[in-house]
Amino acid sequence: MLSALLIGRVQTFVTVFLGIFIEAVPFLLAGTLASGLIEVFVSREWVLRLFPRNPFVGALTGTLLGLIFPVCECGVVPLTRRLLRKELPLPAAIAYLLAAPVMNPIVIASTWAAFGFGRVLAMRLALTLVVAVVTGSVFALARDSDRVLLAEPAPAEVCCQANGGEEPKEPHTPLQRRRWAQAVVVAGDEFFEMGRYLVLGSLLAAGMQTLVPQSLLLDVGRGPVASVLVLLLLAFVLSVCSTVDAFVALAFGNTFSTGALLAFLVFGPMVDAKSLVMFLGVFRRRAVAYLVLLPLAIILFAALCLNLIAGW
Amino acid sequence: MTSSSPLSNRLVRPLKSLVLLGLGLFLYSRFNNGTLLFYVNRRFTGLTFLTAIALVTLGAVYAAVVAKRRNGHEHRMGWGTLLLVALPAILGTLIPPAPLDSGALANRNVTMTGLGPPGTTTTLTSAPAERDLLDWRQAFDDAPDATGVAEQVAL
Repeated sequence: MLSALLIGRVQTFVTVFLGIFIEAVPFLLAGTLASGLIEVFVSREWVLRLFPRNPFVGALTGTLLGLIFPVCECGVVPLTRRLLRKELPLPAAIAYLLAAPVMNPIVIASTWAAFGFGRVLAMRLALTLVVAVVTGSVFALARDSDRVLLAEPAPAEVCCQANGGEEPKEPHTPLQRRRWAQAVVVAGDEFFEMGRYLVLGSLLAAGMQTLVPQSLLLDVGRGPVASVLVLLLLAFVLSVCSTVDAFVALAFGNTFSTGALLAFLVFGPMVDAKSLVMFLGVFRRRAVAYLVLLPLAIILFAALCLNLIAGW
Repeated sequence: MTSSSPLSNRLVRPLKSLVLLGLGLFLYSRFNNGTLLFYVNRRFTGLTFLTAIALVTLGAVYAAVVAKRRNGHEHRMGWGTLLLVALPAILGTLIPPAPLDSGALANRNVTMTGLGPPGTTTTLTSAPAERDLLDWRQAFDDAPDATGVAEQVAL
């Protein structure tokens, strides 16, 4: 009797886990393939020429850069460091760091697939833009990227594929073919870098759905304040890739308020457990504190306003 | 996330190719035998099929490319990462596919009835002959009493 119950629970857990994973993996794959192609075929110098020096306009431009330079939160950290070392203005770089995991075509498509074309998608983009522009503009006060970046190169784990290390060249292979091969290798490697976080996030979400009674979640998520705090914490702990986090958020859709879901969808791609580790490998501690606390404060305020004033 | 014991460069990339191929074949097998609908809504089947093809292609091309490379730098990766990424295929193969029972559906309370914004109730629009088990569950939920679905024919 007990073993039958246990087997049933395991069966349910695996089915829910695979459901989340299978819904999300096409978007992860699309993201990694796009990343591989951009890594190899898009010149950074071409992009750098586009950036204005005005902090606000620079931050705004950096926020929108993800639309043509799409990377998720793991790839964006080493890419931002490289751009900063190429004299990219700080506001633009920081805005890109925070916004690119949301402001890119793949994440917009996955959010649309999960929630449809409505207020969740619109508010996710709008709130991301506000947070990235404000935080980027605040970083203009630092003036010099050396005050933000660590002097030493980042450890090996931090080096993702997005414009990361150089691959060896095979002899006697045409350049164009070599570049395509490089793109495939980058895409394959990034699929593993990000895939492990997707699997972990899916396991945790499936565990919650299988083991935690719906009534308990409702109790925790019912309050307009508690629901936001709970999903902010979950966004940090789950560390789900932004290309697929909309599907994880969808699992919470009938339990938590819209303001709380937005907090999850905006804060998670900017700051989570895995990106915090990467931040600490690239930026000085004070800069990391700003990178975490400014978005947290703005998103918390916005989500509470949506819940308490707008009644979402 | 830290990796478990690091693997040598000569092992990592061939194993990655195998995992990519394995994931693609697993997804294709679920698509092919119809059990994919135990996991996801019908609207995801086409996307899943394309993903299966793309994963197999990526795995094969990746294997061909890395086979030509004698050496090169590799990000530290352990057995843990490889096993984690392969876990969906491993679990899906070890645990026979089965639809969720009614208790699990009630507790899950998520995408089973289709995709819509939170806080809204999804209205079932598919024809009876096109409904899967999850759609039928919603049809019963939506009907004020059993007579509302009594005359409808399922596949």
